[in-house]
Amino acid sequence: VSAWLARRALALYPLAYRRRYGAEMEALVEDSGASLAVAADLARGALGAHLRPEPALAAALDERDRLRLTASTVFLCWVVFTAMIFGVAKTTEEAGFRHAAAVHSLIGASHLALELLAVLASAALLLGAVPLVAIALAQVRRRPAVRRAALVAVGCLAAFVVATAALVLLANRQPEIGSGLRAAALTAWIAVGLTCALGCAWAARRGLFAAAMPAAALRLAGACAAVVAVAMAGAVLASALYLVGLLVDTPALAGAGNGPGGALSVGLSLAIFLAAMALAAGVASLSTLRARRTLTG
Amino acid sequence: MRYISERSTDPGLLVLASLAEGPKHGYAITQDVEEVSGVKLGPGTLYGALSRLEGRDLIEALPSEDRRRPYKITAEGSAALAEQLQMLGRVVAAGTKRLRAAGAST
Repeated sequence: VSAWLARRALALYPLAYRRRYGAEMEALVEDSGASLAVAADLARGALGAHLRPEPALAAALDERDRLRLTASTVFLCWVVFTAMIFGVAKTTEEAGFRHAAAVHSLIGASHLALELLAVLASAALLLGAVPLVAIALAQVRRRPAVRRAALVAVGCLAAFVVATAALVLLANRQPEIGSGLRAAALTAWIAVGLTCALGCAWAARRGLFAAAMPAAALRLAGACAAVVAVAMAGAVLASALYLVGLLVDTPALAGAGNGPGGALSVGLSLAIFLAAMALAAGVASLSTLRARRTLTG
Repeated sequence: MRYISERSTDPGLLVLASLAEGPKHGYAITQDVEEVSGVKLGPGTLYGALSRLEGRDLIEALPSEDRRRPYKITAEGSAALAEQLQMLGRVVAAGTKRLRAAGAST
């Protein structure tokens, strides 16, 4: 267990760090023996390496790997971001929110901006990702690692389709199911969806590094990743303004119960979604900025 | 005077002191540091220190022996180590003197 934990902790280090020191660190763990303390020390070191990256290590990654890293990181952030946007949309789908958006200009404008920026981020992501996916799929037969990544992605998508079909069947079942079972089914579907999306993001990173990619496609993906990051940051701002508008103009709506059993208020739910969106947008922005700094010297 | 470290067991200082004896790879450094100071450097702590020292040109990597790459201290690293040890020597001398004085007065 300790050896497995130590290997997992080593995998937490930034790619440039692993390229430069990974083999040496593995050898040191083998020589000195793995333990829980060693795994904890590695995990602490990995966190430090992410928070305080050594500038000289940037040279360990060439332009293509730097762009691969940024594209896959931004994709992962977009997955988390999209899940949170879905949460915001579900939370604010009732007629009362549409009415508030029509009556209060801040709520209406910020909601519209949030929708437009989410569409922009998704469009930019598709523009950057489609050529990479096509290039990787063309190498599925020749490269086993690309094939494995593609299989994981297809498996995740299939699992999501099955879970969605099961949810739809359950929702349309006669006689209607109870509200408790409905909430449980929706929660399970969200958990499956998020797991599948994270599985796809993991497979995308594996496939991106395993496949031979032309520099032009990677540069396009890098430029699109920058647009995605900017759109995500804008959407965070729009969400924050929406929440402020809701709290100020319609406090009754903001204070209404939300989630299974109304355990949280709408305002608190939106604040949680907003925090996760801000984290995703922050990581995506940091990754694109690092890529820009590295590539422009 | 340059700021050096907030800890007397600064991993960077321990690694520099170990490499002052001659080039060593990761495992040899941890063994030497433990023998000299009683401090056991974990792999994450050791390579955190090695990457910082290498980034500041205080040490340099030698050609790899299998996966065990040795490091050697540079001239700049030796100067930095000497400066740190001098400062620590002054602290040790002053601290010991004050402890003795405090012990004599009680």
